[in-house]
Amino acid sequence: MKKLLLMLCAVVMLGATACGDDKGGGSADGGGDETVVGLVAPQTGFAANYGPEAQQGIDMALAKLGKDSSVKIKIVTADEDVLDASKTLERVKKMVETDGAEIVLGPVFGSTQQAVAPYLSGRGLPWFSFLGAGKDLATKGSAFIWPGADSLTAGPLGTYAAEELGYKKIATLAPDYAYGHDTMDGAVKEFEAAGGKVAQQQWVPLGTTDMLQYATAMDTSVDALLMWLVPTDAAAFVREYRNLGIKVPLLMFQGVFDPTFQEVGEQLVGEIGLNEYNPDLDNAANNDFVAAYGDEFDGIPNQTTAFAYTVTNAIVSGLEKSDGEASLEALRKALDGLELDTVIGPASYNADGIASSNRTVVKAAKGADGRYVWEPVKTYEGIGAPK
Amino acid sequence: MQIVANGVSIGAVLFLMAAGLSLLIGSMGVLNLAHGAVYMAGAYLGWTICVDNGLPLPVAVIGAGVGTALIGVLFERLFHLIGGQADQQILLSFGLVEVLVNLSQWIWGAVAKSPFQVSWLAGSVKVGSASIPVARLAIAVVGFLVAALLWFVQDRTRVGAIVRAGMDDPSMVRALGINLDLVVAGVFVLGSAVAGIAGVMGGLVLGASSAQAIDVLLLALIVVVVGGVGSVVGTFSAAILIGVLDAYSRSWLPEMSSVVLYALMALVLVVRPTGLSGRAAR
Repeated sequence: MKKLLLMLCAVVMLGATACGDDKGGGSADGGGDETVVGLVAPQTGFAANYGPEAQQGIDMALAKLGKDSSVKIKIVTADEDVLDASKTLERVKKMVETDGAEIVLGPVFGSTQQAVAPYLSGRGLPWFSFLGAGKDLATKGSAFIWPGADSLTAGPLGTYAAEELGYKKIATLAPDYAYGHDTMDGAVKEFEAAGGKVAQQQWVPLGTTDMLQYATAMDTSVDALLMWLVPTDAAAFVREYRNLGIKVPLLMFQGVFDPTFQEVGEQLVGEIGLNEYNPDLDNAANNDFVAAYGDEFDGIPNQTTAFAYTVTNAIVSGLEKSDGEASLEALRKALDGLELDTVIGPASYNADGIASSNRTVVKAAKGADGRYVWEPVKTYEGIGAPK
Repeated sequence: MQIVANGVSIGAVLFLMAAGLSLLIGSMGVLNLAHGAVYMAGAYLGWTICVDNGLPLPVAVIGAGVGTALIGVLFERLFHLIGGQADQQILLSFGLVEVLVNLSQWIWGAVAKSPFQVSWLAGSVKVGSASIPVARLAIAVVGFLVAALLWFVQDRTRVGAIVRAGMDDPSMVRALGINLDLVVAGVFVLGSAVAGIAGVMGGLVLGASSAQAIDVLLLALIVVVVGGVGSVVGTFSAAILIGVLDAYSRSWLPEMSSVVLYALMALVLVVRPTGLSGRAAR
């Protein structure tokens, strides 16, 4: 029994250490006046894809800067521990106090954002969320939030469900943490404002991988299930949902990203989603970005890469306008109302640092080349910032 | 009924995860923290065979079982080299976890693989008022078969008798001229193969990811603590109990679901430290 107890203690230690360590990362052109930007995103664990995907977007944005550019950026990185925000906070402190980060890009997850935001705002350091955040982190802190506040970003899906699809009663499914609640609340608010009712809400604890119980517990008398889960969890849920033969239509905030989408696309054809980013959007900035990504990585970019690219471009635009001044005040002033030509169309930050941008309602389909795609159906403009 | 069915199906996966570990601790006294990483390797091997190459699921089960058995051979030799010191075993298995996790990320990437899709396991069947996905039934069937096979070998064969005798009094077994090292090496390899098979079957509902190296180990340890080491029947009973308890707690007390499992483990450690089977670890 002593051995078993020893083993249990060791497993706890292993769990704590196996999540990796922070490390200095790649850089753009080094120079005397370079601005140090710190990327905070998961590099290990169940969300380990976010860090490398964000790094791709940053590298692509920095590669566009010529040697004569007035803006020079050096990137340092830290691993975001999704299950231990205090550990991430320590890494962010090291990133700022030792590595000299003047601007922070990330973190990704709401629980981590809540943990590091007081430290960053206390030091007056600007930080740029590239995958959403609660609006208070901008209005009462030092965040810049792209592509918009969590509580507003999914609203058009609720509007579309009620007004275009005529749904009266829905169920919801989302992770049981800040981002899941904020996005679902936003969509539900718009759905109810348009006359709809919510019959059931299920919240999935963070780290849950077995989705069967949520499928079996679902109220199948509803018109649709409004859901958001991270791609692999969404894929697992859809697999159980289909196995159980449930026919209730899905309304998928963010759909399912590649590469997971290609694994489960057959089971999603015909379902409706709402994308913040969609590689099939037809605008010049996105077409250039997708082509450049294909040349560099021989694939199709996902939202994490696209938005890390977009926000890095925004930081560069802000630094160009502020003559390299990286303070919160200078960047807020530089970016306020500055029109940004982004991969999801025209967008801008408001005076509080919250972006307003386009959202696209999409439908899952199989393309002519056999690849599963989210086909754009309807675009809602100016979403994400409080009116 | 639905909740019980959900719990039994995940309990079968838990049994497959924990069976090898229980035998390893019970028969060899080896603290193999890399057991979850072996499960993970089985899941990825299964994904490569079944999903990436489109081969039938039974081929994936056999392939992953053989692959992880080979990993088990390597691990057993390493554990044999360092002897029976618990601290050295833990340090060694720490290193093996890191090696396997990093190798898996290098080979298969950091993005988790979604649950395997096997066309003949699609759909569900009605059992009373419950709907049970066919894939879950397949997992339960494999779990029951492996449990029955392990029980038969352990309780009804000469090899099983040697293993059980070795757990209780290794010196006496050696004094009888039995090569106990060879027997326990066989148990190590068998335990690793079962972990690999568990990875493939678990992959039908959980997919494959490098995080499983730790997640699975923790779940398997809870099962081993509750079931008692070295007992197939104890491990099986504990796995089903924990699967059903977890399903009920997630349904009735979702905020407390993980606490319930740890509370059960703590209770067993305090009230009955030898677990359901009542056999002490070597």
